[in-house]
Amino acid sequence: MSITTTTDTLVTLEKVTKTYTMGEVVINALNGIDLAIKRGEFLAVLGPSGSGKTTLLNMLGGIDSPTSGRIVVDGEDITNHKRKQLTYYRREKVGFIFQFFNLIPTLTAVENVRYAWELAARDGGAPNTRPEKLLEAVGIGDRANHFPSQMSGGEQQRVAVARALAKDPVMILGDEPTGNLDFRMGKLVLGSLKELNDRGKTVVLVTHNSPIAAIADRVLHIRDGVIFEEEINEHPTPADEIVW
Amino acid sequence: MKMLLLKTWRDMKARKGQFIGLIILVMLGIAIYSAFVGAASDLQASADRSNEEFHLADFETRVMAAPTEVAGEIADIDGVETVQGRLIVDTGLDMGTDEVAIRVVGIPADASPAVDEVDVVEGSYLDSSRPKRVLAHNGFAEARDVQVGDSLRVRVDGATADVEVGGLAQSAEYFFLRRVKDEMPNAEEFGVLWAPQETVEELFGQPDTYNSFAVLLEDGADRDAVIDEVESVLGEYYVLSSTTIEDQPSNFGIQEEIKQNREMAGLMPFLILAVSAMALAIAMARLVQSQRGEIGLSKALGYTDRQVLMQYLTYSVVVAVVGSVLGIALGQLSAYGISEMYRTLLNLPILESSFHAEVAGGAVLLSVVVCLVAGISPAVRSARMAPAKAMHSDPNLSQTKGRIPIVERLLGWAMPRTIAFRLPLRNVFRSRRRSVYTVLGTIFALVLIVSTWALNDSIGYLMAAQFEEIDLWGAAVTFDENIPVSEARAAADVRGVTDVDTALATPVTLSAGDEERELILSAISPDADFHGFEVEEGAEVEETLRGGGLVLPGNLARTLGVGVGDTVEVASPYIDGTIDIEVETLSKEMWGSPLFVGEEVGRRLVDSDQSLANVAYVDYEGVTDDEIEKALFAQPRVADVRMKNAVVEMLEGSMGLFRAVVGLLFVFAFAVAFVVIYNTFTTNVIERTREIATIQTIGEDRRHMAWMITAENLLLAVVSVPFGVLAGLWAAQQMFDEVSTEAYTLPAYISPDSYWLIAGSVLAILLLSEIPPLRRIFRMDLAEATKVME
Ligand SMILES: Nc1ncnc2c1ncn2[C@@H]1O[C@H](COP(=O)(O)OP(=O)(O)OP(=O)(O)O)[C@@H](O)[C@H]1O
Ligand SMILES: [Mg+2]
Repeated sequence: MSITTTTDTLVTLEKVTKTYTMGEVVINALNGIDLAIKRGEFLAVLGPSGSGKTTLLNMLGGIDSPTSGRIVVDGEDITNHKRKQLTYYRREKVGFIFQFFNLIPTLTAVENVRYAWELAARDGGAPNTRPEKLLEAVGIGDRANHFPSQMSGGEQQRVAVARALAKDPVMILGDEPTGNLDFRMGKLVLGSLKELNDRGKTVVLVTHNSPIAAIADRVLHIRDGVIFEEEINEHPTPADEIVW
Repeated sequence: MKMLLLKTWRDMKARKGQFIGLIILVMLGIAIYSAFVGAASDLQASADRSNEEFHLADFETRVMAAPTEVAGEIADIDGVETVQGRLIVDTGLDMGTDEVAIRVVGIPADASPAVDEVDVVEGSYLDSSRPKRVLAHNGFAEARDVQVGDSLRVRVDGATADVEVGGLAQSAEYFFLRRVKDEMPNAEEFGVLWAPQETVEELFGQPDTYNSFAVLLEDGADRDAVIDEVESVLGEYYVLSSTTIEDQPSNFGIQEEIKQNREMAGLMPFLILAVSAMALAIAMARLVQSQRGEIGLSKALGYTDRQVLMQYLTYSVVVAVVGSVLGIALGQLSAYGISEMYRTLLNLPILESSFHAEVAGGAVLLSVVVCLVAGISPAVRSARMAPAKAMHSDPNLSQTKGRIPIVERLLGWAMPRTIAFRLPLRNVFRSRRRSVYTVLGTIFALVLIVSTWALNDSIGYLMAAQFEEIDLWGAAVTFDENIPVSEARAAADVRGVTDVDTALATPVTLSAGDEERELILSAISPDADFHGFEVEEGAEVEETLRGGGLVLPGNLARTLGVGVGDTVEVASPYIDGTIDIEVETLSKEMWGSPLFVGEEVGRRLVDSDQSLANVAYVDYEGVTDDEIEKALFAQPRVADVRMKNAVVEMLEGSMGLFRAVVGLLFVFAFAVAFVVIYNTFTTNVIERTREIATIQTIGEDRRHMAWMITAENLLLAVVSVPFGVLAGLWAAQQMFDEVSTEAYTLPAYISPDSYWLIAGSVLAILLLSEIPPLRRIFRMDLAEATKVME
């Protein structure tokens, strides 16, 4: 597969591999991934359990480094970044959404969002959108002063979406963000992501649920650490029409 | 089952630091406890064996003077195994620069006495062909640098006689070198010389005379009956006293030290053991609690409740057993060190060191029980939990309920709004259980540090108070009998003396109701200022002394059940019957129970028309201690001169060991405190691995991370410190009350300097304890940690 890099390419992966060694056993989680992600693209990564989806997302998010290959995001080569550089990379460029929400339980909804916002503001100007506005944007402005323990899973995940947005990142990474939500809540979260994307944010969504992938502009099928198929959705399905 | 054991093993490896911490906790608790308790019984055994091997007399009867043949009569008494007659003379020794008190003991010239054996440690035994050769007490010789071959100048009736030191020796009678029970052993100022009986007789002009009979009893003999018979045989020679082995000055002192050591062992080390046990219980409980998820998983995989329970008990048992084994080994080693230090101090020739199975067993049992009890309850609860609930650990419902702490609700407006500031504050109050554990851990740590330090400071405080505020004299001169006050005041003419106060110190029996005490009562002038008084209750001291009343230490008054206005009965050896005296002042005393009356009462007590004195308290200026001591000794009728500086120096010297012991305790306390706090902090981090990983994932840097953790820990510490200090002082006071008697009270006291030291230690412990959890945070595998179940 060849990659064409254009000015509107946000992410480039070249021959990325990741090998885990556990004693005698060597696991090739990623087996030479070549990939380009365009600015503003909604990309879904689909594959069975153990295929390497999370590993790929971790590489993009700078919480793990590849064994070999090269990763460039927004013009920054993060392949050989040290821990500290990765911290700043994550702080400035990536918004994470986790399967288990991972909100800070001692902070209210708005404070959770504000934390990410403050992090981004630390090394420069504060991002334009205020935390309160972000919560309103994902539809839970009325929950701003609630603690995570007082919110449903869907509400928590939407706080997480707002948090990911707070630093105005170049891309949003979601690892099964609907995995722990019921159908209705899942749809709301997908809707929020889709809306972000419509307003120009790059989104990478990992799932093992093929109907969900229909929301994306492009779907990567991965198995045993390699991309074996790529699908372009000419007409992505709107979030509220997705059924799984 | 094998799988679960494997899992236990993995848990231990995964939380290596905490696991080792728990083991160290058990180890330290057991080590310090068994070390001190073991040392106390080793010491007892050493003293007993030393007394036995050196044939310390079962009792000694003293007479004015008896013919030597009478020893044969005593030997014939039923129950007497051996008797040794001696001629003992207390006199002075002219050491050139100063004068020391010396006791010359006459013993057989050809072989060591059968009772109160004299054991040569250097040089050779007495020799009947060389009558001027003597043996010198080894401790005295060392203190005064007396060597074999030296010549010594003994005072004999105003003149001096030279003797030669042929050897250095020890004897059970003088392991603890002193003449009477309440004398501070001071080898610089008092020594013993053993000389051939004939030599002593000749030197002091008392031919064929014994004045002391040391008796060893046959097994099963009735001691009181034998003493009665010995006293009746010696009746016509004027019996002065019979002293049993329990009251023998040296043995009494050693037994007192052993008793104190035992009490000390029962206190601090027990406190350390107790704190370790409580900290362990908390740590175990938290550990099991934090593994609920994995417990659920095990159950989902089909393991039964019992198997799961067994897994956690295995963990507890491993901690208890490994910790105990190490603790016993370390304790045994330390016990040996401690007994050896004490043995040297007490001058005991023999050290008995044995393994104290009962002590070790007790400590181990305690730790195993604590580990099991602490582990069982959370393990049972977890094992009973439905597997799905436990395993799922329901991330939808975050376990921590967020809330805004009161402090923040009240003062939030004044605080920075930044999350990096607020998060630590929220974390301090995030979970009541966790805060309580942390605060308790810190308090435990502080209790140990504060109470060991109080042990040190209080003694110093007591000494300072005694010698700076109560004993306001420079030298105390004792006369050989009661002499008129005017004569006793002659010391005022000695060069350098600025003030003389006299006192008539009389042994009295004081009775109040059913209570009775043998005490020393001093009759003094109302102007006397050698003793600093602090009135607790009642009249001014001067008024009481003038008006014929009694100044009684408040502590003693309370144990006797008397107060101001009550009357006590006083009997003295000089009068028949008793005198009634009214208690008019309660004074505050630190050390001893000195009683004071005016001179008029003094006259009645010794049945005399004029005021007498037997002690003169002297202040001096512009002369050295040695000069004044020598000049005072040269005065007529002076029997002894005590220099305050020498007493203080001697006490300071004997504090060395005490300080060493306190230092050792402090090291243990510090170590336990460190482990407790380290474990608490580490657990605080481990318990929210996912949260911390998330914070880092969204871009928090190390510096802020470290600041947040430090701020949280410091806040928790700040909350705990006042409680910890108070609890520590309280614990110290409890311990001191335990050892205090009516003769001395030890206030739990921390000097201002020590507060800094304590603050420093606590800060050091806090910061050191943070390093491992911070390293853990910085090395976290974020990919994994953001997904862990909590
Ligand atoms: N830290 C690790 N150590 C060892 N092996 C790992 C580690 N992380 C992932 N792997 C292995 O790498 C492979 C890919 O894992 P990955 O988590 O990327 O799969 P996934 O596609 O996200 O699966 P799922 O849908 O179950 O989340 C798997 O075989 C997994 O066991
Ligand atoms: Mg995955």
